[in-house]
This record gives sequence, structure tokens and C-alpha cells, in this order.
Amino acid sequence: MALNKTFSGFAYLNDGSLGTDTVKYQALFYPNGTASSPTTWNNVRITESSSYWNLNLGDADFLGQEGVALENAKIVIVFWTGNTSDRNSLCIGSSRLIEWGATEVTLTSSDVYTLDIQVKNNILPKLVWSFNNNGLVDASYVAINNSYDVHNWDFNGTSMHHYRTRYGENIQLINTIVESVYDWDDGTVDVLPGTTNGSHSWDTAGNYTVTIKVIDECSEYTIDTEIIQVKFNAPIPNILCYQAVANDILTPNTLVSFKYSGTDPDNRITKIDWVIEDQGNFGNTPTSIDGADKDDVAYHTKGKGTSWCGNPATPGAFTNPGDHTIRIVIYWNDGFNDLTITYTEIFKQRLFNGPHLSFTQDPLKALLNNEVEFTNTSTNTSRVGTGLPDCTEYDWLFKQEGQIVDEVADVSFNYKYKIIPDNVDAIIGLRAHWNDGWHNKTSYIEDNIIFDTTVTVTPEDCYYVLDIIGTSLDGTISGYSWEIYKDTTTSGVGPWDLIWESPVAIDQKVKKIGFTDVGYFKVIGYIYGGGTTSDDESLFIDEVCPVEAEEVIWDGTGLLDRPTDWTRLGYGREAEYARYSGTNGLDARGLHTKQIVFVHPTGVDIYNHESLTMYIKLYSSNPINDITVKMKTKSGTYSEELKLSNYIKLEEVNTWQRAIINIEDFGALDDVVSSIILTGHYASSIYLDNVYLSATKVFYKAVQVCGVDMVGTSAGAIHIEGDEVLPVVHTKDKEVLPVVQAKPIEPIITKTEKPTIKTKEEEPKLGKPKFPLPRLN
Amino acid sequence: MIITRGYGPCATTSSGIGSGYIELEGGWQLVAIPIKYGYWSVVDHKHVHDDVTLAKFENYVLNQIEDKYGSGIIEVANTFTGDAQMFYSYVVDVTPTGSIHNFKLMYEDTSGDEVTGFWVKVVGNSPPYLISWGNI
Repeated sequence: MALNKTFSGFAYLNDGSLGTDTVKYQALFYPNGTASSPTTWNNVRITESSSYWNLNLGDADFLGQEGVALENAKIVIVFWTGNTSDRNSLCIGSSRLIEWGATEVTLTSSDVYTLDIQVKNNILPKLVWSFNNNGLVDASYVAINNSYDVHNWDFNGTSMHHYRTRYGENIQLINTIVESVYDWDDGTVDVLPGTTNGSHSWDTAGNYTVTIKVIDECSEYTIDTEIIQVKFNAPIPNILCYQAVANDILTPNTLVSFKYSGTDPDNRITKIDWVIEDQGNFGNTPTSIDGADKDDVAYHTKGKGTSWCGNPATPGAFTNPGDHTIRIVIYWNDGFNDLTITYTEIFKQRLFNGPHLSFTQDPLKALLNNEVEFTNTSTNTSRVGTGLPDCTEYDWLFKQEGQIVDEVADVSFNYKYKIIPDNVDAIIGLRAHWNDGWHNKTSYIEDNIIFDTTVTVTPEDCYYVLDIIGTSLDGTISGYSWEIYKDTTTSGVGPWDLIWESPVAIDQKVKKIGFTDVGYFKVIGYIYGGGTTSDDESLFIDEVCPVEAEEVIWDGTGLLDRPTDWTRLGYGREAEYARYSGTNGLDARGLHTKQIVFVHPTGVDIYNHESLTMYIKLYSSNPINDITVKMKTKSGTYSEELKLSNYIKLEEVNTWQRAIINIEDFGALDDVVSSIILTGHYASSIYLDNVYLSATKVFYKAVQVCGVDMVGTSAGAIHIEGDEVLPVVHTKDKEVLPVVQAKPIEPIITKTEKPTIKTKEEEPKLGKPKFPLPRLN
Repeated sequence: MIITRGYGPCATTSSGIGSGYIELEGGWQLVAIPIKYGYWSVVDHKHVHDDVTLAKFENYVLNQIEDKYGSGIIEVANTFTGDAQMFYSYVVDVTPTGSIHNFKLMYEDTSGDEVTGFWVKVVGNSPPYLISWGNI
């Protein structure tokens, strides 16, 4: 079966009666986004005498038998009465619509749609608008007009409409507002097309009745009114101070004056009252002015101003510095009532600015014990001293190690301050005396003296003392560190390999180092703080120093000998002729079966050492009756008792021999050693000197310095004095120090053709150094 | 004889030509009844062929169905005429008896009488519905 959907029903008139055969109708098919046939109007039809109407989508004048009408498509059926077959006729004239209406159906699966419809004559336009009830003179106000002439009603369950257009199609062109008329009640009437919004402003205050009339296509209209109360505009206050910049009066002791600078668009201000507040530590001097004209200038007639260093005060200027509240009361009329506005604004009386202190140092890098000159380079100094004789100017201070060591007071800007520092912990201070307009004030700065950075290398015994003097770039010192490089060639000019570096710490200023290899070395010292500084020294080592750290047990008690914790007891007599080195040795001739005893008060961990060394000269030889050595622990046990004949040659008499006894030879010990005992036997007779414990084995065991890993740890390090660190530096492929020689050793560092130690800028400091090594000679 | 569609002299008289039964199945069904005059008598419960009363859908078909089976059996009956290329749509309980949409079962055309073929939409709940035509 082809397209076949029936729409039918009965048509009723405005009065509810059946329209018989007077109602014409025409239907619009709209696909509404479906794949139905396109938008189509059928032919105009007229109801039967029973007022019955009927149409079918499959009719040839509509979609036809080949048409497609899917669900959700729309059918708008338009009805009307009148002497016209054109649904778009007007509602005036002879061929006009009399009653009309339209209904709309959404297609479903149903084949039959039954609708009773009603046509109605013209309905008055719906007036929808809004307008202000309060306004101001010269301001424009808009009447929002949302009126319309499209109407809806329900008839026997059918929704009827006075549509003008639908789905882009003209339904009936009479359902529209053709113009809107605005009467603004001041003689102005605006006639605007359609529902155009109206707008209007009034040039004087008053109550106005605004009338709007919307007129439709049938010349019928709807009318409404609103009352708007229009007032004069209020003044917007503001205050001008002639002497202020952004509400700041920059210069003290300036006469101040004020003026009303706000708005008064409708000239409604009648008078202004003024209060200029001025309260503070220098007095309470407010100024009040009543009934001033808005154009009058208000002066602070009660202000006293300020004075300094004999400079006179200016009447009319603020008595006090800081914030000042200016309060005005504005009297005005809005066209209906007398009103007031209170307004305040704060103006700040600024102070004179102080100087920006600064100074320079000459030379830029000072040297200890040399004169340093300081120049005042301060700026903005006009308030310092103020140029008057009773005002103080500048003071200079010089501090070393936190203590003031020199000071000059009340000197001029051009004064040159000179001092001679003897300590790098040195500070220069500069103080300025000035006045801010009300108060005498001082400004002060201080800064560290900046010193040149210099590294010194001083040979001492079998090692070198490194020291660095100076400051960082800003004069401060936060830490020191060292680096040691070895020349990879024999030229003395590099390239250089970093073989050791110290940690960065404030206690790294002085270091003791020893070298275990020959060649050129470069020592660089750094000072940290506000900009790191450095200096370096180069030195040439041409003979390895067989340095041996030791704990001296006894080497005589004379002036050149060193005191120790050990005490010598037992047999023997100290005498200069019995010495190996230093002042005295021990004459133990006739030792026989007696003992020589060395006692330590708390005991020594013998395993911190590698060997026990002593120098012995046999006064007489007796191979049969040996001298023995043993150790006693603090807990009272004894070590193995060793014969000296295993360590020296008994047949060599009257010659100093060095006995080196490995600690391991004494066997296992269960406690720290508190005494060492030499026991003679019949005919034993000796001179004894320089008894010590050597600690060479730690030379190549230590891998850290002060808890920080060392570069080239094979170099090792050794502690020799308290917590001081003695790095032992040698090349990377050498891990063991040279064995200590058992023979007298000549000075270990010699200057060859090239200087052994050089500074960066001068010839070698050292000649041919000879370093005494008393314990080794 | 059951005639469901066509032209011809078979319907030139009101009686004695033929008769038949039609089973109206649910949904749309195409029907033709070659009767020019007559109506269903709800008093005698049979067709009356009086040579006066024009046989239309309502008086000949619908009244028979409603007399036999009650209302609500048929929703609409449509015929599409070749001359007007329009539907005559008889909507049960809506279309007035006097409306042109209460179409005749036979039409006089210049070439003679024509039997109206029409679609009827059966919406009753118990199809088929048996109806008769002619002198049965």
C-alpha cells in the first residue's frame, strides 16, 4: 500500500459553533530532519457542510502516492475564514482573514489523526516590557520591549496557534507587531518599527510617566505606563593638594594648600566644610574651614612647619610628618532633597631621605702591615651635616678581630681614612649624621677589608708547611682548601695532574705535607667567601724525604730534645758526650744486669706502630752476654723478651747503630703497653739515644683527611700532631714510602740548578735548604 | 462467487448477480464489493438490496461488521480515485455519513459502473472477521 495517512476532524469558529462549509484549510508538510519528502503545501480546501475537514498525505496535491512521510515529520494545518483563499491575506480590507488558527501534528506510526480545531479572530498583542523606576539626569535609559503577537490556545485537546511563520514558511502574516510607540512625558514621542527597544534621557530632574503602545497588523494595540523618578547626579568627591605628587608631599616644611577637585555635573554643590588634620609628636594643629565655595583654595593656616640645625620653620606647612587626613563635607541637592557627602583623603608628609653610604679601598687588595686608604663615595648626601656648623658629618672606624682599634669622628666627606692592618680579620665602618626634617639620624655601614691572597710554602723538618693569607673577593672568609698537582713532564711547566686535594673548611688554612716522589709540584690555595680567590706556588723536589712519623719515647732531656709522655727510670746517666743527636744521650756503661725502663702513664696501643727504634753505641762488645728488650702491658703481662743481637752487630763497637725491632717480634699483647724494659747482662755497657716508636705503616693506609675522601688515596696521610693532618703525597703508582734508612741522612731537599721552591712572581725564596732531622741523624 | 476487484456487468443489477464472503484479516486488506444499491439492515441483520439506497462503505460494510462483531473493529477505509487522484478516507466514528469520504462501493463512470476497490484497516482483536455481500 502506498502513502496513506489521514488527517480529519471538525472545524469550529471563534464562538464555538461549527463553521459549516466556511472554513478553508491548507496543510504544510515539513520533513523535520527526516528522510521524508521535501517541504510541501497542499492545495487550499474548504470544509464540508458538516464542518468536516479531511486530507491525506498520499493525495496527489500533497506528497502523492510516491511520497515518503517518516515519523517525527511535521504537519502544520492552517485554517481560516473570510473572503479569501490566501492564508497570507491581511486582516483589513475586503479580502481579509476574519478568523484564523493553525495546529501542528508530529507524525507517528499512526495512520489516522483526528483533530477538532478552532479559528479565532484577532488577539491583541501581548505587551512585555521593562523600564527603570529611578534615574539620573542626562543618563540614557532603555525600555526593553519583548512584546509579541503570536498566541496559543487549547481547543478540545488540540493546541491552536496564531503563528506568523513556522519552519521557515509563512503561516499567516498578520500575527505580528508592526510598531511600538514611546511617549517619554517630556514632549518627546518615538515611533519605532516592530518591537524595537526605546531609549531616552532627561535633562532635568522630575517624575516622568512613560507610555508604551504596541500595534499589530490589524491596527489593534496594547498600552502600558511606568513612572521614572529622575534625579540630579551626585558629585563625585576628590581633593587636590597643589604640593603633592601622588598624595605625597615630598619636601618637609612646604606650605600646603588644597582644593575640591571632584565632579559637580549638574552644579548642585552649595558649600563645602574642610578639616585639615595635623596631629603627632610635634603638636596638634588642625585647620577647620566652614562654608567654603567649591572653587575656594583651603590653606593649612594652623600648620607650624618644622626646623632643623637652625633652619627656620615655615608657617602653613605640616607640623608633623606622616599621614594627614583631609576631610570635607559636601552640601548639595538632587532635585528633591538637600543631601551631604562626607569624604576623606590621606596625604603623606614625607621625610628627607638619608645618604646611601659607600666607600672604596686603595689598594683594591690590601697587604698586611701596609697602609690602606679609604675614600668616601656615598651618594644622596645633601642631608648629612646639612651644611650647618652645628651638625656633625662622618665618622670612620677600624676593627680587627671584632675590636675597634682606631676611630675618627666628625670629619668631612672628602676626608681620606688611612690605616695599617696587621690581621686579615679587618673591618672598616663609615657612619653619617643627618636630619630627615624632624629627627637627627645616623646611618652606618661597614665592610671587610679585601686582602691580596698569598700562598707560602715553608720547609720544616721533613715536610712543608702550607699557609695562605688573604680574603675572598669581598673580604670575607668562609673556608680554605688546597690542591696539589704534579708535573707530568720534567719541564716544570706542566701539564699537571691533580694528585691531592683537601676538603673545604675554615680549619684548612695551614697544612703540613710531605712528598714521596721527586719532580715539580704546584700547590694552589683557595679562600672562599664572597668570590673565591687563590694563589699558587711551584716547587721542585729532587730527593724523597724518608719521613717517618714516630712517637718519641726518649731522646734526651736537654734543651734541643723533645719532652714526651714517657718517663725514663732505672740505670744510666744523661750526658752530652753520650748523645747521638740533640743535647744528651744516656751513658749506660756498666749496665751489667741492671735495667733501663721507659714508663708511659696511661699506656700506648702498640699496634698503631710498626717498629721500636733506638740508637745504640756499644761501649764494649760481649756477644755472649746480650742485652734484651721486652714490653710490659698495663695489665701486668710481658711480651716476648728479644735479644738486641738480632738487630745490631755486637762486633761493631764505638759506632752508633740503629736497632729497628718490628712490633710483631714482641708477640701478642693483651693490653696497651705501659713500659719498655732493656735488661743488661754481665759486661753489657752502652750509650743509648733516640728511642721511639715508628708508625710508617699508616703512611699508606689512611684514605681520608678530616673525614673527606682524598684524591689519589694511594698517597695516604698520617697524623702526627693532635688532629693536624699531614698528607703524604706521591705519585699514583707508588703506594709505599721509602724505607727509612739506617744511616745518617743528609738534608733531604736540595736545590739543584733550578730553584726548589718558587713563587709566581719572584725568584726562588729558598737557597739550598737543609732541614734538620734530629730523630734520623 | 466472490469478487474482490474489477469492472464489469456483474454489478449492474442489485440482486441475483452473485454473492460471497470476505474474511477480513488483521491490518490492511484490499476489498471490492460489486454492489451499487443496498444496505445492511440492523433490524433483520442482513443486507437489503432495494435498488434505491446507494451502497456505501458505512451502510453496507461497516454497519454489517459492527452489527456482527461490535465496534472498534475497523479504524479507517481508504479508496483512491483515479479521476481526482485523491483519497476518500472514511474514518470510523469521525467521518459524517453525508461526507464524500463515506465513499460508494460502485461509481458511475462514462464507460459504465466501476467497482470501488478500497483498503480497510482492521484493528479488532479477533480477526478474521467474516462478512458477506449479495444475497446470502
